Amino acid sequence: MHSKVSKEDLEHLLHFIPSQGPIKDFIHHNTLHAFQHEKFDKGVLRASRLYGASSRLSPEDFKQFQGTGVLSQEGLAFSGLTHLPLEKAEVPGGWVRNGIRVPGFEKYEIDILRQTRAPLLRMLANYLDQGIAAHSQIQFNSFWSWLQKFFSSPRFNFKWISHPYVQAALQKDPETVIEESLQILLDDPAYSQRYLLEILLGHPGWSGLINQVDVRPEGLFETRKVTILEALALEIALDVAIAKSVKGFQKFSGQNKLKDPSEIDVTESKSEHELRLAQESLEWSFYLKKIKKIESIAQSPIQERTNKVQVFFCIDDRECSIRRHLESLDDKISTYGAAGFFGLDCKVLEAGYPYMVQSCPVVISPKVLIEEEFLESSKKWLSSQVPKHHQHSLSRTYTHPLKGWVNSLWKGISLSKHLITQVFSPEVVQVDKPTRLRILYHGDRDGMRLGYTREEMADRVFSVLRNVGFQRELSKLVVIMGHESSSNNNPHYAAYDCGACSGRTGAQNARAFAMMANDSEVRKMLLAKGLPLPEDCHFIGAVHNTTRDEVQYFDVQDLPQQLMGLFEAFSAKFEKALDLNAKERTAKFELFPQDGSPQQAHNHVMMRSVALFEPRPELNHATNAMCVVGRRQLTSGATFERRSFLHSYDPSTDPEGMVLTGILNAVVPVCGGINLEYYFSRMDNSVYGAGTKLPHNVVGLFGVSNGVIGDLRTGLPSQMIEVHDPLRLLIIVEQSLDIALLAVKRNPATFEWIENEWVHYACFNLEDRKVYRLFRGEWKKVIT
Amino acid sequence: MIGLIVVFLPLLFSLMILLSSWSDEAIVAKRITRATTISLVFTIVLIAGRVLNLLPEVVDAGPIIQIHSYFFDPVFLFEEKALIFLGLSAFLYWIIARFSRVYLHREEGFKRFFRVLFLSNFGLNLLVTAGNFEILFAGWEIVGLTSFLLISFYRDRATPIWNAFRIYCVYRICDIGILFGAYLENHVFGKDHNFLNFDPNIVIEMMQQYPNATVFLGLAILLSALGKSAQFPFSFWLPRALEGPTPSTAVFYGALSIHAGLFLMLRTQPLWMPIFSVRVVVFVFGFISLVVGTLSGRAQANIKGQIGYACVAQVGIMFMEVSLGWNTFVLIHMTSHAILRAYQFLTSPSVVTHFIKHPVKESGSAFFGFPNFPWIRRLSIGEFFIEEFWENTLGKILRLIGRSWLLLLVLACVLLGIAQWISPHDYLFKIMVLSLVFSLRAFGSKISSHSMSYTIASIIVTILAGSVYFHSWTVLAVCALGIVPGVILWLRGGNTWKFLGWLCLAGFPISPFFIGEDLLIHNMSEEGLIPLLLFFIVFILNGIVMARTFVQETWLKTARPFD
Repeated sequence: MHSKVSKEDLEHLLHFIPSQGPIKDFIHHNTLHAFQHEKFDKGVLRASRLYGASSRLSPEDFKQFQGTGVLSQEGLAFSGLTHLPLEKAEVPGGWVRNGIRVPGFEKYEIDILRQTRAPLLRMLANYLDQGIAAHSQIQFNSFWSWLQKFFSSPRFNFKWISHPYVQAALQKDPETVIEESLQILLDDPAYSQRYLLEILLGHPGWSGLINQVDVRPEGLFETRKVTILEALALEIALDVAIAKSVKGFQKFSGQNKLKDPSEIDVTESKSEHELRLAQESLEWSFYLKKIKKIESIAQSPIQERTNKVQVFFCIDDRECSIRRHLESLDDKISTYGAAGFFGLDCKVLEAGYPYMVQSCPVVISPKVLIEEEFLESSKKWLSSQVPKHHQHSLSRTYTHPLKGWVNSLWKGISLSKHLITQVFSPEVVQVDKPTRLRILYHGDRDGMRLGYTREEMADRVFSVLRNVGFQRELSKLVVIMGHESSSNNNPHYAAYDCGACSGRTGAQNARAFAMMANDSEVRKMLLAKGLPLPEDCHFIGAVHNTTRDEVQYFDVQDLPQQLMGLFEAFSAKFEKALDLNAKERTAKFELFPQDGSPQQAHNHVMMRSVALFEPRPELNHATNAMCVVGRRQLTSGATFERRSFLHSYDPSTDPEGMVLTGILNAVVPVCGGINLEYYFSRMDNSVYGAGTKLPHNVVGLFGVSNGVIGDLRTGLPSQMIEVHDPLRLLIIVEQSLDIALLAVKRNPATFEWIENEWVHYACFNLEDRKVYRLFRGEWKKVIT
Repeated sequence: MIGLIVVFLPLLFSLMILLSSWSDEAIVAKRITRATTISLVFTIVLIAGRVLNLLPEVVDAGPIIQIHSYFFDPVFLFEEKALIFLGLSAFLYWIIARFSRVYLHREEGFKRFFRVLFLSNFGLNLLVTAGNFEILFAGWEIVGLTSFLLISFYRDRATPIWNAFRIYCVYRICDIGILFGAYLENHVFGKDHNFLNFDPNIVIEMMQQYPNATVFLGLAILLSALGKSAQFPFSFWLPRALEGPTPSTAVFYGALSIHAGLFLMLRTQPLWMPIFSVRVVVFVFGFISLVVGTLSGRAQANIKGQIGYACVAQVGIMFMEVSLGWNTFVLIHMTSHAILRAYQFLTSPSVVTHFIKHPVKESGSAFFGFPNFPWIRRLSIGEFFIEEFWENTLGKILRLIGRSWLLLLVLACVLLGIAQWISPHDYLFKIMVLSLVFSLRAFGSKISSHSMSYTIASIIVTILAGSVYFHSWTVLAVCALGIVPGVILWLRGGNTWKFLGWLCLAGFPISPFFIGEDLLIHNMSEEGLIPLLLFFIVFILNGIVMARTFVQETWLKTARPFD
């Protein structure tokens, strides 16, 4: 009889803990990734029973949706529901509360979660800390060796860590400790895995972070080595120490308990069934409305636009409205959507920024580093960017007894003035940083290649232009518009930036792309690939700030003189579009008067981006529900209320569907990940989401928690999802049915999302110009 | 008059929010921001009036309740210290109300937040302007209760509720100091005075007459101050208190409440300053807090905990400064420090952006040149194990005794034996032993309804002892006025009613029992220190048990067990 836990077993357990990494790179992903191999409805139920989360909205929610018209009669008819569900689905208790460990210890009147959490989390936080604590930065080979150095003494130690069992355990290796401890705690080794899973899920946020640090150490700036095994070993040793302190401790028995989450019964109860149908109705209420719109647009004849300026935006749902405004202001401007990293698989080292950051989707491991440098004249940028008092307000010197004393004697009085300005009229600091990018390959450093060669540049430019179907004529001015956000006092700031750039600004990618496309050598190579760019066509990189509705253009000085007039006219139009965009956004902000002018709205959103007291700098991806992959003509006439991701794609240039496959490979996980993260955070904000952000406390610069030793909160805070109606993503591609199916089946990983219904997949059929949805492997016409 | 307006305005605002039917957030928001402006304007007028000497320094309402030799006389002082603190808090509440108006937009409990915030402002006003221990104690209790409410703002989770309860325990235990202070002050100096008209010569005279009592008085006050200002050995609670929305954390734990203990020391300075030994003790505790706060703070890997402990350390320095008699200096330090910490807490969520953009790498040892001794590291990370210490000593012993009738019996016999031996005819003490047994039993009881029954039994025994023994039916009547509605409200059920019932039973300043308690103390103090000591212990234990029972029977029932 042995309780050895194999590597595979452990791997299996790790599926069930959150995969959110350090908060500085907030990468949206499907919260229930572990359940994606089964059908959505089953996976949701399994997860809800495992984690103790609610799986559906409440009947009251649906009632409200019906009241506001979000849930329509058509939608109800679609799912065949005759009445709204009345009964709330019971929220299951979850494995931790109803497991072996917590109830087992409760019998001895011990709150095991509280007892182990205080020492464990304080030590882990201190070890992993990225710069909050003032401890010296000594590198250790492992968490375990750090523990051995600092905690292997019973004197001045945590009560349970000074216990002889834990002290002895620290001298062994973690695997042995786990094995021995399981033998002491459990009477049946078959339940070992479940016991370990219960430990991990006792603080899912921390378990997830440790695992992420283990598998992606580069996610932390200051390298820390820790494995989930070490954390488990320490915690289970604490369990044993506590158990040993109990008089008459009897081994826990797992009787009648399930051994693995796959054994969970996922049969629906009656209320769950009704709520599922109601959810379906809610989804189709929206989809049907939009599909009708698309079909009716498709009936009207296509107007070919004459282009003067073409603008490439990110596919982001937030760009959907600015594109509409821009096009309506000037019919000579056309817009396109492409993933906001613009095909550049690189890391970026921003000027004045100490660390390089990934600037492409997280699934790519970039080999190339692009550096941004200050021009000689602007070395002082750093100190002027952030108001000085703010920069200093979190200085660690205030924790120093003497420096803190001297500072606290006068600093507060001098800060009171800023406290007033911060509350009454937050300063909008203009960032001005003349810099340049070095994109051409010029050597290697630390295993990274600095810049791209011209061939690589040509490849990347070609693939992006091909994806959107750019084989017709390019206009004279092409603007590549990345996007970024800015918010103050917001630990979740990374969740607001470009998802395709791993939660970073898309500015450098847009800028680099434009530089590449302007390079005459690169153009020659493009010509050889069959993509001739007109001689007088010029690309310009820019970045749209989605919080402030501001735009910044890069390298304007390189613009040919004859295009200057065109550019200025364009940028004036763009400013106007930004005002309108701000106005549209403020409709959702209760604190802005609804009769305000676009200019006032613009000032208001600017204020939001800097106010310390604003927990909602912008609403981000909230309300996202769709993704259209197709020509702009299909969507340009309709308003999608900033709810749709828009990827440009020309089906006529892609007879095999290869390009579509490439697009879907990126769009499905990125947009699907964003969508499902919002979906689940809204479904159960305390289990899948991060709860309200108002009491959040930043831990170690890698996460947020409630209070000082709460678990790390994963998912999205309530302020980000409160206006979100949880709908799964509906992807509509413009293609013929066969190719659309072929394209999506090429990559099994992508197809899994669709086959298991984690996203809906539909096709705007080129032949009869109707929308079909993929339902259990068959195309079904949506509106008959 | 203006002074009293300044003190009571926040209470008025709080009641307005409580009683109003404003359901629209925008209306509440408009009123509260206006209210803080009114408050600020009045405070400025008050300060100007005082500076120009147009307004009186002491406002004495005269005895409003008089029962035999006991009288309740609200005296308010508007001198330098009080004015500075009033100005500071009016300014900060003015800022925080505006900050929170947007910060808490759409948050559940928007109204409740401001209600409690104003109540906390009122408590602080009362505390700083109090002219005698009765008013001070009322303010003290209100600050304690609002603290409890602000920490447990998020009642859907169990952790904030338990933390709030734990901090309430600390406050309650430290109340013993202020109660003793009140008693000894009355006893030693007589009742006819306020904090300002102590004659230092009398103190010195008293010192010679009752050397032990005066030292004890100083230490008792220090205990209260240490508890309220999160100084050693209570420093563990401050980080636990950082559970509410960031603005309330900033204004209360960063800026105002944390300095309340310090303010108590300043206020009662004439009582302990002439005694050298007490000054040394104050200095030493300040210094230990500085060390503990600094080391714990610098090992904290979370930003709020770090700022919290930095507060502990700086307030420790202020205690040292007070003991040296640098009064003006302390006031400047306190004011500046309060604003600094409020600002730091408010900007604490920015720390991710800030430190990643401007990494500060401190080289070498973080512990100021100390070699990296593992035991220092352990102590710092474990925050000196203060919380574990209290839990494993005081908490454990009380639980142990309370759980077993046998131990209770033994304890009772020992105490009765001692009483018999000291004064065989004194039955007050013996009755109080019974009361203590009930209290301890309530503390040890696992079932919350049993706890409540034992507590009520204990309270009733105490009241009967205090009134029958002294043949004072007025005391009985006054206490009953608080207790009877309390019990009725409690039994009526529902969170709000239970809350009110708890407040009545715990002798919170809204309940006649508050006066009743004061009367009981007044009466018992004539019988010497020993029964009084028992009374205080019973008072504290009952308070703790009632708070625990309250949270168990209300909020914890619907809260998520952990997060």
